[in-house]
Amino acid sequence: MNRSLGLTVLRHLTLIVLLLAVLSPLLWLLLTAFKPYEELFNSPPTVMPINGTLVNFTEGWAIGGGKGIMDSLIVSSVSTVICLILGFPAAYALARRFPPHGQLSFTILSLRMMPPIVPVIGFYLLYQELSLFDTYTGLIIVYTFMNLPLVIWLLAEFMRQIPKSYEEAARVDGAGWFQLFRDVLLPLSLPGVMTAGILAMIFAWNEFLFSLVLTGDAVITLPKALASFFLFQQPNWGQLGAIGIVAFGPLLLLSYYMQKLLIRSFSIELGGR
Amino acid sequence: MASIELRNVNKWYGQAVHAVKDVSFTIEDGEFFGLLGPSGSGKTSVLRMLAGLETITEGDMLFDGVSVADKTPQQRNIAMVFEQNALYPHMTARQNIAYPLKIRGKSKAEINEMVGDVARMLHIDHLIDRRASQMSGGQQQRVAIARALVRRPNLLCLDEPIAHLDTLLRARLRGELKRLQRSLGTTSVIVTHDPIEAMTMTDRLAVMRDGMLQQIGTADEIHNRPVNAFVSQFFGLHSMNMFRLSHLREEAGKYYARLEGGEVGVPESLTPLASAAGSLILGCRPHAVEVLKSGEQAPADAFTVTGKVYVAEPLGDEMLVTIQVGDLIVQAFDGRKRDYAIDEEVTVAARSGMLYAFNPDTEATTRFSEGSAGSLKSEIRAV
Repeated sequence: MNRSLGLTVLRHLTLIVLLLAVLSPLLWLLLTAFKPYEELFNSPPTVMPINGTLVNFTEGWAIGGGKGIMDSLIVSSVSTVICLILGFPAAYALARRFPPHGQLSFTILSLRMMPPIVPVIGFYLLYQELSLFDTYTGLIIVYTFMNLPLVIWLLAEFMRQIPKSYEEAARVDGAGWFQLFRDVLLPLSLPGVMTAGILAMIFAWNEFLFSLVLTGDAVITLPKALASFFLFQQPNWGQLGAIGIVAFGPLLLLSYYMQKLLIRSFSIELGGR
Repeated sequence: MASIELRNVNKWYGQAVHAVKDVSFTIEDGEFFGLLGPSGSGKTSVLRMLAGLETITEGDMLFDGVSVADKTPQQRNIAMVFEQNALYPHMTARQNIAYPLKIRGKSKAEINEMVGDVARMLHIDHLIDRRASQMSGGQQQRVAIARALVRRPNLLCLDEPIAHLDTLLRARLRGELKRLQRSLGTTSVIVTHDPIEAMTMTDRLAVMRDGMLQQIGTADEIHNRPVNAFVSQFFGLHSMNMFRLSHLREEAGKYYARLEGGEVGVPESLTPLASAAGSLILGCRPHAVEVLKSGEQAPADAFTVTGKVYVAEPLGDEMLVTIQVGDLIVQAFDGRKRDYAIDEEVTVAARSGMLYAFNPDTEATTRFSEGSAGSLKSEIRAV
């Protein structure tokens, strides 16, 4: 009895310590976001903001955070949607017409394993020629290029779990390709589509290297905007914290909401026996 | 509704698998046709080609005299009930049944009426707003049948539709399907590996093995006049007993042959059917076999084999006795329901008139049983 109580306490303590270790930078970021500039360098440092303020948010938004968030939203959401639209039929073909662990499947996935630094120079030169440098279109194409292999591979894995008899039933019922995709395959693979979508979105949202090399002043995604806070002056850590929190927020919300959706769609039992 | 004709249909999967070999047959308009065979016999491939889910590698297929080989399932207007995983899991029963109508662009009022009609016909009104996961296997198959019938297809394809249900439900749905088919008059093809399903539901059926058609006919024809040893063993509620005899010899006007290491007497009337090498295959259905306890006398001109009781199973009015003769298993029905001890020595006897004979090389039937004891009626009564 005592022993198990001790174990429980120990287990929880360990968890708390680990959690604090992981979350402390985030927590510090959160607290910093609400501190006025003068408080940032208090000696000894203070943990809680003394004169809490929202000025970091408004100022951070104004000096580039706002544009960063909007640009990132545009680029990552559009590229995610394109990835899903192109990836869905490609995944279907891969799942139904090619062996599960075949060459093609591996080749597609291996594209995603390539370090981004490899294609970046090629893209830079190409974009100069094609007038895609520093455009939304350019960045959307690159993010689609980087994320599509993963989306295809994930969706194909998911579709392999869907019994073929549903498709055959739909074909016999008279469904054409479009109807088959819309009425049967898409609803059945929705959890897979959402998983792939979230991953593509997160990659694009966090991506820095392509954004840095392939855009100038017209398109400034959030990671690049945050980095630029360091460039010209002593960085205002409060503004950085505020924008960092705002940048993190959508992902958190998205993941939370999607998780609920995921659980619900998984509970529509596949097979239904 | 349509009549259907298959002309020398072949199916190859890749270069290696010849799944269906030169199959030809005709299904009459309104007929309930069965495709029966063990797994791997090609029966499902034939059904899937009928449905338009597989292409025909070679040969032709005609609906009402018109080739449909290049037509889609929709153009053929066929419907299909699958073995399992048939209902769309994200739709309710109503949406499932309405789906083929929706695709065909029927109006909402029309759809509602047709779905209502077919739901009443199949007694699924109360399930109409449930999803597949909220229904039992039997209910799901009922909904699947409703979805197949709602559009009045030319041909209804049934791919082992009730194989996964429990025994009682299977027997009930068997009857319902047959009634439904008769009253609608929809040309239907059912694939099954279960001879009971095939013989009870269908008007005519085809027995297949290794991609080849073995025999086509009514259940009674196939049961009483099987074309070869395979059909006679496969078709029937209980497998036919087979005796592979060799080294036939004559001694003082009587005939003997080797069986499972021992020697048995062979009725003279059967000896002309033996091959030149003295081999002969004899067969008889379990109902045509008498079990004799020690001391009992076999009837004259009977074929007798002595063995040990492996197990005896009471089946209502009868006792099914399984007897081991060397490595050979012989089954017999004892209408007197006597008790048998395990390993008790008994003799099985069959009147020579009850015996089938098969060519020892080709296994084709060379002689049919004359008796009625082996007929379908008596076997069905036993179940």
